[in-house]
Amino acid sequence: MMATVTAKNVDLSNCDREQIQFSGAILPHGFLLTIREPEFTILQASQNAGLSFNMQSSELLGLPLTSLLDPKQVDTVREKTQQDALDGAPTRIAIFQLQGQEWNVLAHRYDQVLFLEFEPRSTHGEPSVEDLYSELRKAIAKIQHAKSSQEFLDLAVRRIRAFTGFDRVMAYKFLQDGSGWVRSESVIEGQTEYMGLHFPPSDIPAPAKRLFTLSWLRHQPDIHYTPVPIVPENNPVTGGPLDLSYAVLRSVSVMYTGYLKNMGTDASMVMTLLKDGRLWGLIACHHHSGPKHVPYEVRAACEFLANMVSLLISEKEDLEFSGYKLKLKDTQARLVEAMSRSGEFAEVLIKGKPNLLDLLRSEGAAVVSDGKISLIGKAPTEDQVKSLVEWLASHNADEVFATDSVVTVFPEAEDFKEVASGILAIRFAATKKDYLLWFRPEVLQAVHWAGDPHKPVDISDDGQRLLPRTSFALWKESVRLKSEPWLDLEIQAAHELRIAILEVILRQSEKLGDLYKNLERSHMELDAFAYVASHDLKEPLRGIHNYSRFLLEDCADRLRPDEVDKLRSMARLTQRMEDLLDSLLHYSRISRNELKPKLCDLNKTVAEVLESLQLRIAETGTEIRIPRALPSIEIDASSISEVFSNLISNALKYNDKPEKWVEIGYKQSDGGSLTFYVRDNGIGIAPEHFAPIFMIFRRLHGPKEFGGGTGAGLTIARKIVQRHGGHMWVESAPGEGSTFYFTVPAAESEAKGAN
Amino acid sequence: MHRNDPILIVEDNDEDYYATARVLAKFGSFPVSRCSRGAEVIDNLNADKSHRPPSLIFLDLNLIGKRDGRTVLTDLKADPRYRRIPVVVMTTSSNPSDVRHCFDHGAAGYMVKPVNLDKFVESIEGIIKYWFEIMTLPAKVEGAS
Repeated sequence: MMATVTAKNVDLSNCDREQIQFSGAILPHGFLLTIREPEFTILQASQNAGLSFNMQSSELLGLPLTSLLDPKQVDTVREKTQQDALDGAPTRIAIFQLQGQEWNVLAHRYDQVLFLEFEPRSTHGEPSVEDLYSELRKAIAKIQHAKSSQEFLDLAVRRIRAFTGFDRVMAYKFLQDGSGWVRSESVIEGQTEYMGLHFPPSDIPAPAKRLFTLSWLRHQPDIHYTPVPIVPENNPVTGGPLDLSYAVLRSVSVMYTGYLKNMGTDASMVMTLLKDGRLWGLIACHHHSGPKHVPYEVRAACEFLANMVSLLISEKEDLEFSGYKLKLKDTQARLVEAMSRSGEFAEVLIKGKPNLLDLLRSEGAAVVSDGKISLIGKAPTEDQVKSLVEWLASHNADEVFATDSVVTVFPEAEDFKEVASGILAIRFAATKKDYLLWFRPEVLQAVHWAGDPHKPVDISDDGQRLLPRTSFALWKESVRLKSEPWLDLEIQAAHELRIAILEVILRQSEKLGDLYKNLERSHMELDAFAYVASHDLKEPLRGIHNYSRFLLEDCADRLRPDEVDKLRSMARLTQRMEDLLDSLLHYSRISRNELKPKLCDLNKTVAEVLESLQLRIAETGTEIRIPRALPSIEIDASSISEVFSNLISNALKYNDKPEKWVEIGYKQSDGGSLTFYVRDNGIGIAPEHFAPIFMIFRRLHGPKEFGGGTGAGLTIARKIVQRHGGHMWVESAPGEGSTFYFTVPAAESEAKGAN
Repeated sequence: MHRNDPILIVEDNDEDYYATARVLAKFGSFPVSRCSRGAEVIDNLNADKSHRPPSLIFLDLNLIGKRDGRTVLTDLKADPRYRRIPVVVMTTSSNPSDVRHCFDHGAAGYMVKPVNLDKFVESIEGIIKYWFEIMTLPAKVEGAS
């Protein structure tokens, strides 16, 4: 068990455990008696108590109260202390005249005894209740109408300062980590301003915080006081040290007075601010120009005001959040509307007005969708976001992930702490790594601290007592790797945005689905049309052809030569028409035929194609180059053969060089997909024709040049490649030759080595 | 060469019928009869009083009317009186599924009508030579007995 720490053995190492309620001493401006009830005899007295009764304090012990006060005064005490419970709440029960001095008599019960505290009344008159009441009424009316918690606190501290005459009044809020933050300040000119400063948690240790929650107001008229001990030290009723938790005159910790002295404070008054029963913060009043005693009436009024502030702070802060909430809702609605309008939600969230940064208070954000990362504001790099998303996806099944210190779970995040110590992430779908991310920087980047929380404490001249630090220079903190926390309502807003985005995606995919279905249907219809049309067209065509031939047969001897020529042209044109119809039929069949992929040795396939083109190769004297053996791939054999056949025969055809060559080869990408090419040193293609050459029946040359053809070969070859999930394109320079490329996706290719 | 066996052409298109008949005449003196509707085929065969059923039937697939070439083929092959007569399908369709269907249902041959007359003449010549010179037709055997 740890030793009990009291005023006797406290130092900086243990002040967070100092039992300050057992200080065993009081402030010197008043005196204290503890009374045994119902006997009304004196149990303990502060060492200065005797003065007011012309006795030694030790002589007071055991005496009945009647021997100190006149019977009327004792009756008043008895009557008042019986009327009220007085438990843990010192209340003025009387004003007594003792030795020519007026005293406020404050009474409360605690620790099984009745406490009577005597506090001297000001000699130059105390403010009237009427004056205080009107002051209070004005103050309350003012602060009640404040529109934000900032305005509210500003008004409150200004009023209290005007009211009490302190040099400085601060409203001080405790944050989640126990550190303090000066939210509002009213200070006399010439004094250092503490507004906006953060104080480390150690400045107000837990025991002090506990006492603050017990009483509404603490007042030290003179920091430079000498504590007056209470005799005897222990409470005779309990046998333990007297618990001064509620005593108005309780002597405070030497650590506290030392601290105040270092701030140049001579007198102080602290009021507690509670929100929903919990310590929200303090109103701290400091005087820097000598001792200052605040009269009881004024303190009561201040206490009342602090009470009002406590009651209202909740409402004012909610007001602030409700403003934020409204803004969130509004921004959210606008985002969702823009997203459904555009369909491109990533674009809207990043580049739109409003965008992600307008929604939640953050410095940066990212949208990760289909592997594409879009960043806005101060964000980690794309690679960092990528690794963060990978980590999120593998470690978090939750739809929403929020942390103010991602480093604690993902150490790599230290690299980008300056921009993203805090992260709020929402995931759209469990199956995809699609995220929205908001980033908050390390608090260190933004917060000013009063004093260096890591600086070793100062040691006083005698080397015996440690003093709290004296440096109050601005210092940037040490809540390393932490950001401002995410509010519940922000996380809620992220949740809602996620649902809205999912709806947009769903609607989009429904629309796309419909579109796709329509497209598929019209595609099928088109194919069926091409097929049926070319069939049906053939019948009359055949009739025309046959009849022109029959005419020639039957009437050749009666026709002039030019008439015979015309009939022959007619027959020839029908022939050409049939070729075109056949190409069309073939093209439409490519998309109808079932693909039967099997492992194909492309060396064999190409060899067969070359064999079938042997005559033309020989005629043109073209050299065939295959720089390295082709791979074996899973593919529909007749299709790939047709692609090579079309490309190679084109390469053979469109060449006017004396030394012709055609090269057939392939490249393999990292992802495993294969790119094949057929290259020639032929006539080449002008860039403006790169697209048209793939259109069906589009020919760049007359039907008699370069051996003619229907102009469907490339269209068919590309269609085949597309059906296999690849694509085909051309690179060429007129006069230098062309290279036709086509890809076979990785899944299809499964390259089985090059042999 | 004695080519005077009757031939039936099932064809709804007058031009095609004319062309076929005309080309056939180049290779023999076949008594050619014609059905232009699928539904007529069995009826006409039944009504024939010559007692000389066709030795060969040319059948177009895509016929106008309810009974197209495919059903005519099925009807013929289902009738014991006519199922032995070879049916050569002569059509515009080069659809593989049509080819399969016809052979599955008893067609003796399948020919895609070319647009080119020379090719057509060649094809007809080949078919006539095949069936009337190389092959032995059941009608012939029956007629001789």
